[in-house]
Amino acid sequence: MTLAIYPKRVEEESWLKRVLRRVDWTLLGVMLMLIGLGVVFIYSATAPSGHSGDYLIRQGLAAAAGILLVLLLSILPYQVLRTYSYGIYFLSVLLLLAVLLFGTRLRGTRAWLNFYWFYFQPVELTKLLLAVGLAGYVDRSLFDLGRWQGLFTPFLMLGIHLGLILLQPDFSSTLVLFPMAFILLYTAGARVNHLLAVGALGALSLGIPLVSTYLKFSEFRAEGHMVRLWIQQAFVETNAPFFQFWLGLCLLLVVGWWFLRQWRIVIPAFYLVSTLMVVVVGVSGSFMVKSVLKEYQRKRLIAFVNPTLDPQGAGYNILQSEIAIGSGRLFGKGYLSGSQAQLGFLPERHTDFVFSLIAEEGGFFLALIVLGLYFWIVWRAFDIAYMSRDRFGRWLAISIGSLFAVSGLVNVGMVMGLMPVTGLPLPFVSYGGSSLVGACAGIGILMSIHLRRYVL
Amino acid sequence: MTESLSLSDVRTEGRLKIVVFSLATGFVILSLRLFQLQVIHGSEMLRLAELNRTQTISLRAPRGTIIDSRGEILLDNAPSFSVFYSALSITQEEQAAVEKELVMWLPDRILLIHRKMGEARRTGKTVRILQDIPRQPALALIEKKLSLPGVNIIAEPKRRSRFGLFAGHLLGYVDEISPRELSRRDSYHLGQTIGKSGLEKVYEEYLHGLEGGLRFEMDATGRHVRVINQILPKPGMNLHLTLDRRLQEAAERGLQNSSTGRGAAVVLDPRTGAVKALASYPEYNVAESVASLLVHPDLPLFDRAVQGTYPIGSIFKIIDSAALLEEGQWDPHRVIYCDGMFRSGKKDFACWKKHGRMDFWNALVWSCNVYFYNVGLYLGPDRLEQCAKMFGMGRRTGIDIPGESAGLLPGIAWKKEVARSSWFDGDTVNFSIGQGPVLATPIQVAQLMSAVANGGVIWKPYVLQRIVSADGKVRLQNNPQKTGTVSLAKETWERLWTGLQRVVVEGTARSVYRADLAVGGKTGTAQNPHGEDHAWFGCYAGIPGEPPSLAIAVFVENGGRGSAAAGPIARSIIEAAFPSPEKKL
Repeated sequence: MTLAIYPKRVEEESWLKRVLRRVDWTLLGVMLMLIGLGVVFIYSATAPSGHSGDYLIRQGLAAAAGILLVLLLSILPYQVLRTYSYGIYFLSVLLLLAVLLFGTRLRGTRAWLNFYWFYFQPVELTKLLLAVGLAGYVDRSLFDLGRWQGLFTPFLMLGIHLGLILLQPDFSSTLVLFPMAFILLYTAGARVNHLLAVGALGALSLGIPLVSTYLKFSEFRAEGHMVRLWIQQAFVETNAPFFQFWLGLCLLLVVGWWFLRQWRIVIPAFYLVSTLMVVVVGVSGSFMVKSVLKEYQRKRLIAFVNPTLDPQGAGYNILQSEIAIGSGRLFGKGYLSGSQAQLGFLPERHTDFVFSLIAEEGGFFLALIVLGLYFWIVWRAFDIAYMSRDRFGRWLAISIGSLFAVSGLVNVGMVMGLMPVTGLPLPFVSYGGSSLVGACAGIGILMSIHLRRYVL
Repeated sequence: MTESLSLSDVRTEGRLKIVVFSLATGFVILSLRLFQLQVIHGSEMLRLAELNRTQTISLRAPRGTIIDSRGEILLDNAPSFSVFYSALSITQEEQAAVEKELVMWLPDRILLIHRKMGEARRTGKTVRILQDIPRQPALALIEKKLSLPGVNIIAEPKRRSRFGLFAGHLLGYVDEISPRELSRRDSYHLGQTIGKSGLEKVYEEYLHGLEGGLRFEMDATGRHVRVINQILPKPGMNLHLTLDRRLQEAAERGLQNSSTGRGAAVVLDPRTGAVKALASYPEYNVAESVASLLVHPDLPLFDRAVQGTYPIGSIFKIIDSAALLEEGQWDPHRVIYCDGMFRSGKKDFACWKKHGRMDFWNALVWSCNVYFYNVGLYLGPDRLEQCAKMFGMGRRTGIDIPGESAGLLPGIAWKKEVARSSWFDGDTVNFSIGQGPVLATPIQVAQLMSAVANGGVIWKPYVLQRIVSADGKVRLQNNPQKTGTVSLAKETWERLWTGLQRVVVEGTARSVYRADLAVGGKTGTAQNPHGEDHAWFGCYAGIPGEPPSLAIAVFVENGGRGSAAAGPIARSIIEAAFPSPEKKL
């Protein structure tokens, strides 16, 4: 009788067969399809330059390396990553420091490590390493997350990353890492109002520099009242009104909080501290934007808000991208026949704006298919998280899934004018070895989690 | 512990669903945006992409050529270089660099370059910023095209006069259309050329042709990648004129070399009314500013040949003679003594010389005023007026160019109506020698001479023979048109011709005498209250035995004596039409 409970059939299945049966083939297939589509359209994007061969070889090599990485990481038991998660996080910080110290400056950004025969962009990998680090922390300190003190460490980890990346300077990764950490902490059980408070902090710390930049470039001239003039001064320049305004505001907050407390209206210290942090981070962000960024970079930041501000500059790119996408209509203009791309009106068409190229030459249906494939990968990641064998696998899959999801949303949103132009590649599709290898590594980890959803 | 753990996991799974749902919403929003861009705004975006991609340049059509009666080309088109500029996708800095480069090559057009490039930037259209630039900079700019984004140099036809400053009042000139003209013409657009005066204006609709177009594909840097399609411009139709270049040139040279350099000369064909020359001097150069031409003391813009009205002086004696000979009662051999003065009422009327005893023929030959005073008083103002009317005085000739004046033919009724006074004998005396209120244009005088030459037919003068389209089809043909008759007896005509030929052979008009030709003529010296006398000369000429083929009127403003100032001009016109045998050798 006992023999009947364990049928022989199961026993007979070999280890290899079992592994092959459990591999997530659709995930792998969709990834390969996206990489293939990318290669096809990178050829189209670079055809006018006459060097498309070079691009194809480089992308092909990166794809090969990426697929190899998928294989290796699938075999690697992902639990190892938990063991070394802090080490991995430390490594990512070292990488970011290294790029700041030894990096090569290309197009105004110190984001590249020169490895003689190729450039590597560490930020594409450190995103993943941060995901591993955060997943490790969350798994270890799951029960601290309900209190606001518990959020301090993960946001410190995130903050260090963001700070180092912003110093390059690169804004695009900020837009991805912040939501990733959010989704992870939210699903892991952090309190919503805590997250909202931190979100407000982050939004304001980005918002204050944006507002001050906007005011500076929009020819906004306050006339009349002294107070208005003073406030505007505080936003636009780093000068006496600037410090008066912000220090005054902090003082007002503290005194107000204290008085309210005297009148038995007790507001938890969390809110005061977080508000003060908003101010401090916002002011320092604004200060950094002013001192680090060049004028054209600052303009690019706000072109999203007001594209007509500099029609030949950043707004021009969004406009040309929208024209490229829209003019593709239902069925596209045909491969190699997109006038916007082939005549050079579409900027960065093989990297950040590759989706516009696909939409122009392939039309609405192909663009929709790309979005669909992309969402399929995201869906797979979260499904893998749902089915994972342990919590660490779940956190890992969630952070990788949100990385993909947010990168896709930001990139496609950007080329369609729904997001600021920040220079973020579309994983798998855009030209760029670092991004492709990084994305493939993410898929490898997902595959590993999926493969081990049952005991092997 | 286990329970709290599972609770935490349940919460995680719930939140996971919320996250996936939110992300899915994000992707749905992207899809909707995609739908909005590609399906809802698709056509508009496609239009914008096409605008991005292509630039259209209109190509000027070569205007029709203007050809004289002997097939000589008077006006045609020469290739010239125009500079086009499109500011699309070109930054301010690049534009500044382009402007600097253009100004370096064409420093004298700096203001125009700046203005037109600004216009191109404002409108986003391709603008012709310069036209007719010299060959050297044009070729240099073509070579430098790669470093001049947005700039294109294109060869375009441009109006060229084969004979320089020639028949300017008649032919007119072309220039870029003005906003005012544009508002009245729908089919034109800014930057096109249009006939501004003369025949260029009158026959604009035939001459201008159809503009062509060149559609380019451009890349993002504004360079032309290829020509997508080209519509060749259709050349305008050709005007064949009745004008004879040789006569016109002779007339213009004569007027230019006259004592004052101001005047007009008209040559008609008495057999048809065709205009063989129509000159007014001084001519004007279009390149000069209109303002300076307007205030110029010589009034170069004024077309004296058809617009100017002047007292015609002794030319009027032809009308007196015709009326007198037709009346038949006056004996031509009747002698009147001229002592240089004639008294009518309380006024003295002078003759230009003491002629002594004069019969009618001698009076005509020597242009004796005193004799014709008597003739005028004998015939009376009504008869003179009637005869002058038959010869077309005081009435527009109807020549096919605009702005013609009617002149003035006074009479008893006219004086009563306009001057509100009675007609006196003194008026008749003045009238009989073409003085007083009587005014005529040179074209009217030429018509008068033509009617004398052909025996009384008043032809409507015409300059345009026919209009021929570029493919050789005749679109318009002008035929001789009779507008009146001078009904005189055949005998009267013959006696008149004899008299006028005697004026040439032995009298005041000796300057046009040619032994091999039959020439009849009359000089005129018209006093005018504004200054020196006007010199007139009217004559007709032809090969003996054939109907005369030339009727000439020459007018030199303030030129003094008709025989001295105007005669040689008529002579050179005749020489041009009938080259002297000795000159041929």
